[in-house]
Amino acid sequence: MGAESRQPILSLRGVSKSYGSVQILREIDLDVGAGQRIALIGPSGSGKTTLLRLVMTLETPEAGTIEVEGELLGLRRAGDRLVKDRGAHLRSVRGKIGMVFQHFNLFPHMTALQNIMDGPVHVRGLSKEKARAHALDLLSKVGLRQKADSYPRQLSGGQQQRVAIARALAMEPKILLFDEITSALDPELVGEVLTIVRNLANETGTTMLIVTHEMGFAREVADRVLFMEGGRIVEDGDPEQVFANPRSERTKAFLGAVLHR
Amino acid sequence: MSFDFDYAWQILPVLLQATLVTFQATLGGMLLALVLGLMLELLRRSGIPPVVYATRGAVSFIRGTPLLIQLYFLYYVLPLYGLTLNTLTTGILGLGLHYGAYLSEVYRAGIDGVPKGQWEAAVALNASRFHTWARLILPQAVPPMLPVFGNYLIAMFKDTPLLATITLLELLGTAQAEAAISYRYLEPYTLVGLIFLVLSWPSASLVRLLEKRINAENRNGR
Repeated sequence: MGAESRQPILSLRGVSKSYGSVQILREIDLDVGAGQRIALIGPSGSGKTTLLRLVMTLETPEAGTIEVEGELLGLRRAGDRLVKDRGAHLRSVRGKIGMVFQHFNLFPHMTALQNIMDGPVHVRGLSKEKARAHALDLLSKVGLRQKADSYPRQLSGGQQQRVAIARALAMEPKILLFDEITSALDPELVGEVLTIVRNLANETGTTMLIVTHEMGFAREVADRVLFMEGGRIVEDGDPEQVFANPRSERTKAFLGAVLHR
Repeated sequence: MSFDFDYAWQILPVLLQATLVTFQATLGGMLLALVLGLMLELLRRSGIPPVVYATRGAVSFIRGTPLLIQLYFLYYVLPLYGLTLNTLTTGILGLGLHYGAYLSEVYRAGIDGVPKGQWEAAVALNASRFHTWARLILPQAVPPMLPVFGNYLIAMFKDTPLLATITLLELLGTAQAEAAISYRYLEPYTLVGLIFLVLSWPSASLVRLLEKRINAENRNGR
């Protein structure tokens, strides 16, 4: 694949995290190539969501480093030591990452359009006209052009999540994190959200990390599947191999349980 | 001693004039308290330990001492150290400081009420600290606080007679001055009470209405 010659867009080295006495992630090593679409699957509590939250800098690792395009995330070098980084450098690195949340987290005091425009105008410094045109394009892409002036409370869960996806896309991140984006939705609304992500995966070269419990979706959209358990990556392979022919007994047991429900 | 309507009618214009001073003190004090309360709460959330402890200490101190003493202090003690302010400014400063300490607690509750996910969305947008506060958090934290602010505004309005003790000729101070001339106390103080009642009552109703509207909106939301 020639992955050795190219620098990974995201790389984790020895990343560990625990809450109190519970260890959530144990010395995770992971290299993500640019444009890869990775599905993270595994039982609840296996550390999938925490891994995404660390990459978004919503949590701080206790040990290990995360690099985005070779630049340290949330840390900087001071002499030969690594210290916490909160300043402009952190923001320049973090700007390459975007995230869509399980509970949408749209800003309730803004319309759909304003939710999407706010970052481009006030973070990236785009002109209002430009940001507005782009935001309307994105709303069309997620099929909600006519809901531009609706407030989140006037939208269904599925619609809110589609706006949230548009909001993340408007920042043009290089890495997009999806954290169980259909778990809070009524079953009949899951399809519309997954369709958007499926189209997105086909149209763009954006690197994606997708935490999901929808195995069919993972198999279809991802080109690489990570199975996590107990804070470790237990299996790492392409979807066909992981789903059809899992190497680890644990993956086999997990897939057996979820696929034959 | 019976109520002399002619005398009451005669002093009414002077008292209404003085009501304007009461208004100025109340509005000035409230504006100062709103700004100060927010600043105190932001300092408390700064995460810098000395700043956090100093702010907490200052708020406890102001809340733990009577407004009257604070006014005396500002009016009689500060000039000894070379800081002389006019009476109205001193009054506004006193009210603003005192109520600012209380409003900082209102801000705290309102900001705590913003779901954690909103802060996370701000991080995911890579928003600056200022952007996060000014555009994302405060605009949703403040509306539920408005009725509480309204109640504090009315309370502060009713505390303004204390400013008479530092010689400000607001409503009570003016009534005292009239009484000192005529030796009639019933009419001036009755009028002062009535003017306060006439102004507070509708304000309190307005605040209740505001509260209802905001609650209704919250029910529609989420």
